[in-house]
Amino acid sequence: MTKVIKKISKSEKIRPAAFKLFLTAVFSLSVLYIYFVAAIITKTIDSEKKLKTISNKEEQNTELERKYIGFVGKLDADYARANNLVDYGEKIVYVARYNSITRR
Amino acid sequence: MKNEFKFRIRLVYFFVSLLGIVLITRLFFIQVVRGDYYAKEANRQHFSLSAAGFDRGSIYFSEKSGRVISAATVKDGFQVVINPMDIKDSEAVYHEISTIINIDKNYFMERAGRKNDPYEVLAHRVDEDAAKKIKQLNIKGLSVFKEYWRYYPADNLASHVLGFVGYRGDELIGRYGLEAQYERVLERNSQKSSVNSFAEIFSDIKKIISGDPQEGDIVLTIEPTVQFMLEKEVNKIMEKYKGSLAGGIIINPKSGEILAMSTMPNFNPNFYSKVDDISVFVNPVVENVFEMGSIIKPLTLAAALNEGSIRPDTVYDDKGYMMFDSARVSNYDNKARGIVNMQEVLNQSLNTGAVFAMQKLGKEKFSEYMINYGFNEKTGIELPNEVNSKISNIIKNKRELEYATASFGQGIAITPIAMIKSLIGLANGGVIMQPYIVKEINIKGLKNKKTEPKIIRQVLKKETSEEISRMLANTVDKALLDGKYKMNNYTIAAKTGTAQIAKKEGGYYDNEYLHSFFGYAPAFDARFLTFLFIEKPQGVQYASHSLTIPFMNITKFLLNYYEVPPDR
Repeated sequence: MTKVIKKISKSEKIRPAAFKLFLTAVFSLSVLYIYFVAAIITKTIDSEKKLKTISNKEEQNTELERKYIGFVGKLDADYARANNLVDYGEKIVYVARYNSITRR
Repeated sequence: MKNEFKFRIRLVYFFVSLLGIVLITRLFFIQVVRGDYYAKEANRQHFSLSAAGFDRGSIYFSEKSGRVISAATVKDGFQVVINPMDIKDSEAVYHEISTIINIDKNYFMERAGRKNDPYEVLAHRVDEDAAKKIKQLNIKGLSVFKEYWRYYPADNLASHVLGFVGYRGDELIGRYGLEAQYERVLERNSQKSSVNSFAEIFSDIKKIISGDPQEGDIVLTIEPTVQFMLEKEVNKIMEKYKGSLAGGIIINPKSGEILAMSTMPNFNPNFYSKVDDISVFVNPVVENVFEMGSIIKPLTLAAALNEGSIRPDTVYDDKGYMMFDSARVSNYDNKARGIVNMQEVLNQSLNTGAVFAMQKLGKEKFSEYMINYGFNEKTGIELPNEVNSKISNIIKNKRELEYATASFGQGIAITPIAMIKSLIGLANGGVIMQPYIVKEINIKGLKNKKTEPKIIRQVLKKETSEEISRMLANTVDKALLDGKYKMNNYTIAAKTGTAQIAKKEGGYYDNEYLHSFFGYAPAFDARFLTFLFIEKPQGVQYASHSLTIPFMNITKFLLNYYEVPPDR
């Protein structure tokens, strides 16, 4: 490495170009480092927000399922009668024509 | 020029060295000064989390439409924690917190008084709003942390099937039911499961290579509306007749899919720790055996019909009793009916008729059929702690009395799940199907494992199944409570059983019975088979009086709910 630097430092043509290249590389790496770190932080914040939204939605879903199950459990004949739904079973007559059965 | 370049190079060396010193200093602080902190953070990415980071796979019911509903899931909230060493004015802190959450003052003061303890939990499962308000108080020593727990949205529904998650020592694992049976599928935090994505990749590859069960969620065959309805009816039976326990199973006889399974008394798995008598966690459908009584008679008659030993119009002379050496086997009322046919054996539930059919079939053949019905093996249902039925007294036994009593369901003890497995052979063309309760396991990232209906064996001919169904439908139309519950547009095949309960020391109790009832509809194209039982019912003698109405309610509901067209 030292020999390369010495060789470059001795060459009048290569020396300025090498130095500029070196400074450009340092500058570019610094910019890239700042960009990637900023991108990671932004993505992490965004990801945290989304996870929180998902968690809230899951909680809402659990609550809705609990209410749905509670409601489903109520649906029975007693509930129907309490809501004045009348059993029409006695009034239904089944009529068979040929091979099919239809309901009158 | 050369000197200028050398100066620039030295300047660059200086800045690089400065940067190196900064980095080394930073490394020193990270590795030496805060090394422990970062080691713990790294461990958290690779090792199991505490209960505060609890996670578990879900269990779902499946509706008839195919939609899934959560039966067991993970809920999140917050726990309120104090550091008693930092609490200066306990009264003031209590006053502030008590306006937000409900805490007993003595409890709080006792916890806050533990000055040598840096960590005391005041409340669990606090909601987000309350947690935010507590955080906003900004009191030193008072914190809130996220916590997760197992939650059963449907409370008591199918509690024996689901089981619950509880502590065994320091470990939160599935206890009872499917939570225990599928612990390795449902667990998420055991054995150093990682949250770091790179570590997770290697961990998953290792699992695949070693063949470990994959993590997943479980979808059940249980239909929640049907389950609700069955639980209500079983509960009504318990309330009315105050038995020691009661239960029911509804199954699709063509596939073996269990649509509902219920036992009372049951429990709420969200509050399992509040249960006084832990025997309630036992699932008698798989863990208890019962002498089933007369519901065995259709199996006996079907076996004899299948071998051609009898026909439905075969007659015998019923004297009301039969003698086997000094032992007397009699009808339930000790009465003789004279010349009766096999239909009357079912209609009037004649013990002597069942013995006659067994004798015509022969002891060895009878024993063979009982084994083929599945009574000598576990069903293999996906629930833990299944026990074997007890029929050893009719296997290679020389005493004919044992076979005689077994023919009408006494002297042999069967689990309810084994009973229903044998009965579906009557309803579906003579095939014993594997009963199952897990429809599907949804594996993360891989193909789902679906349960397919499985034929165990063909035990009866199709014609025999039709014949016995015809006889059982006749029983419902003409004999069950004098045909009062006949349905004009649907054929229903059914049979009741009233069995004496055996004493441990031998013999039977005089006034203690097991009532059982099974039936299926439509009789010749069965969509559902329902089995109900109640142990030691009070104030009622026969199963026809205790279980007919609940069975009919369940059957009518099922026929309507699944829109089954009439078959007559």
